[in-house]
Amino acid sequence: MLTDEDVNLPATLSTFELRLLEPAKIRLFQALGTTRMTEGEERSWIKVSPARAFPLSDPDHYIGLLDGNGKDIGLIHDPALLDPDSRSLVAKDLERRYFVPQVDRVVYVKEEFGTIYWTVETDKGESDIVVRNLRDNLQELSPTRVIITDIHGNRYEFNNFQRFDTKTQALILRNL
Amino acid sequence: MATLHSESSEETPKERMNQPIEAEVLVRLNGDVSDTGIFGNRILEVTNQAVRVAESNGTVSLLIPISDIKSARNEPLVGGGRLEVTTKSGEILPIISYSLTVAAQFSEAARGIEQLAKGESLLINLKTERTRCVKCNRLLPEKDGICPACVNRGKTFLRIARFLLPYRKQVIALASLSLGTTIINLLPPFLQGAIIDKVLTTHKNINILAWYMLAWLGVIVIATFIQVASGRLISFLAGHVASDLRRDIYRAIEFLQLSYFDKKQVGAITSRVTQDTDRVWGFLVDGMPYVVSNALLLAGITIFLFLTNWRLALCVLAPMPVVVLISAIFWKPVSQMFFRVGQKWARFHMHLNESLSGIRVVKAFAKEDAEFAKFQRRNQELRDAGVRADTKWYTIFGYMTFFTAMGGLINWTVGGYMVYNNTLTLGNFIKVNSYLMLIYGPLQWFGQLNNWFSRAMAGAERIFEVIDSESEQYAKETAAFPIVGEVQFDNVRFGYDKSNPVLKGLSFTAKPGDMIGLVGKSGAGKSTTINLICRFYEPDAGRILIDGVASTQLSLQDMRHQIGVVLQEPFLFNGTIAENISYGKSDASFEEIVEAAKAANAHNFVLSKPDGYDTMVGERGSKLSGGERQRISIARAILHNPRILILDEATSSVDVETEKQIQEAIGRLIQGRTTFAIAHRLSTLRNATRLIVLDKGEIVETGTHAELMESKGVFYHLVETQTQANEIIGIA
Repeated sequence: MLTDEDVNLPATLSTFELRLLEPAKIRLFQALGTTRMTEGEERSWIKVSPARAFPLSDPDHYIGLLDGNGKDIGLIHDPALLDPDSRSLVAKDLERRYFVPQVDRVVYVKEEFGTIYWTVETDKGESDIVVRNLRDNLQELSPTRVIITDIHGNRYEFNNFQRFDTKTQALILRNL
Repeated sequence: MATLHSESSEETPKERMNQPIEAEVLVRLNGDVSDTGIFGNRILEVTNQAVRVAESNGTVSLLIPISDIKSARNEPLVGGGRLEVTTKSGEILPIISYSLTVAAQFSEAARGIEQLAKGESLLINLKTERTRCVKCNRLLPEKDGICPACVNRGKTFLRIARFLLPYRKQVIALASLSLGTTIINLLPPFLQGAIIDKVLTTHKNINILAWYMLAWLGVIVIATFIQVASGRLISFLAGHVASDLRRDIYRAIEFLQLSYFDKKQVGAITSRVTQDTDRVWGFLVDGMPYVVSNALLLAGITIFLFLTNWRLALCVLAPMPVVVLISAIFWKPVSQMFFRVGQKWARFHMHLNESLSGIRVVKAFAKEDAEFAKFQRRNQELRDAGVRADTKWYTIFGYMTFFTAMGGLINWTVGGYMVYNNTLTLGNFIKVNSYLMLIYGPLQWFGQLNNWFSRAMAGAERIFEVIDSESEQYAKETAAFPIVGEVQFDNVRFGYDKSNPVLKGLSFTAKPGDMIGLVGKSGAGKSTTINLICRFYEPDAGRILIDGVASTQLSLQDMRHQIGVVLQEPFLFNGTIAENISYGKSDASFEEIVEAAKAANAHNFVLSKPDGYDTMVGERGSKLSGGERQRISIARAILHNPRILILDEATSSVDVETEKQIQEAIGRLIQGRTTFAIAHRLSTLRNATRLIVLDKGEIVETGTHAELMESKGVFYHLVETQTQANEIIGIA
């Protein structure tokens, strides 16, 4: 089996040029706890980690693959075109890499002395959020979508925040 | 040390089945993400024998014997992390996932697992940061911070009130003047009423009118006097209290541990000195007298109204609660809208500033239209926010005016009827009318009182948080300790973030007069070693001995007086060259300054400047070139005459000739002093007595330049790589 130090291609090519991977040619599978990948018959990697190139503006496309040394392997434009096993493995790895709960409902919100306390229901379960200095911890993705970073660095996405309670809306609008 | 748990008795029988060897649980951590990737609770337990993960229902879902583990690490992910171990067979096993809330602890646990796997003793620091208030269990706005809800606001208030203590005479005077203002404000309507009833309606007693007028004049004179006097007092108090507050907080900040500055941005700290102190003194000096005198006025008027005619008083005061209510309800949204306008202004400013400072780039990319579009967007945002806020404000103001006017209308209706029926004198009617005018003004502002108070208290809390923070141990009043120059590191461990040690048990000795070169890749711990010698930080474990005495036994200031520093980016203060050279010895004579400058090869360029040693160096020394700044800072160190000298990359980014001069100056500077030098250009360390090569916080090699080159170890390779890199750059 070939390793990360695979040298089939000249170094310059893999370093400077964008490689769009052919979904039909690549296959990802899990072995010994890591995600591995083969491309066609020639190349394989023993550790591959997928990462979104545009996690905020286009999370479902442009999935970058990094090898065990953190070096770029290439980009998958549309992971939906992968074979079902590879696709679900990529999805699972991505799901694990990005722990950004989506807020579904605001249960409770209170602002006191510039600190905001939220209790929210998210797609990952209920959570308490404490945000200090909301203005510095608010990222505006679109006029209706924001990401809020709490005091620990955890990120929460408020998608379509106009549907939440007026207090949350006012807090967000005031700090945009 | 790790927190030790000995609660193995709590284990369920099922667990025991999975865990045949009962071992003491050394580390127990709660993970907050379940195995399905949602919020949940899982427990990581580490014993001498195994690493295991228990689900919230108690079942052990994963168990790996320590003997199988090669290494462990915290894999940082987005919004969280995952503890992974690599087994001896090379398999990477994900153990447990967690959010960033607890990631630091798990990264520490990973280190612990690795220590156990290597057969070392467990040496980790699992200090849990408080995220919840111990008293009320609410989440804290800052780890290990103060709970704003539990801060006794009364106590905080008393504490800021203490800043008034040195000026208690003025405070008492101001309080009496406020009382005087209230009474004096109540008098004119009273006089008006009397004049109307006794003179105007009776068409008699014209000489009484003169007396009344005289009294009124007296009132005006006194009122003017009080106004001037209290104004003067307020400005006196404002100035003094504000400066005292700033003085105290600045002094506290100066002595804070450096780790405080690592965590906070300078901007956040300066805002405490400026904005927070402003809020506090504003409330103390401006707010309190205003509130007190208006509250008194309100009470006084109400009493007078009821004394005059209680029926009429009831009627005219009826709209009053509505006005208070409107003010209380609408104050917050309106002030938020104005706040928003302020923010839009800030954004507008930012954009304007950015696009104009980047005008060359804008033009070069021909992006004028795109920038204009962005500008217009900000501009329109600002316009809309402004219009919205003002519209709302005038609407609410309209309501308030309406209800205020209702008071007058009621007075004319009910009072007029009473006057017509002779149940009320015309004088009393006018009196009531005048009082009404006085009452509604302060009333409209009462709704924001609580807001005002809260903001001031929050500011005060932030100030006290700094004042109460742990300061460096300057206070140790030990006798002066003349340092000879021996520096010994004895198994020193240190990390800025306790979970991530930068120095892992460093031991070495520098004899007096030695020049020690510290070498290693970036992140190896060179600068950290130097920070510890300067005692900017204290070691987490181990000792630093100066002439055989533990550094903690020495007075910090005395010790730093004998340490000199020449940094890579020398920091000069805005002032003259002479002032900067004599920074460490403010009573230096002109001869000494010139002597130091000569030794630093700075004299020539200083003399060639029009203002010589009186040349202003500008903010941070910006009016001097890099090489000039370095030589001034060397002169500063020479005059300071330290026993221990720190050189951090003193010769980077200058031309060859300047570098030669700097090298010469340094050669003179290090004479007879124990010197620690960091240089990226390894050839410059050729003259060092000894080189210490660091890698990942550990000493990997020591010896002279020649010895290390001969042994062809780490240092040799570093030099080789550098030479090659220089060649490549040379070719390009």
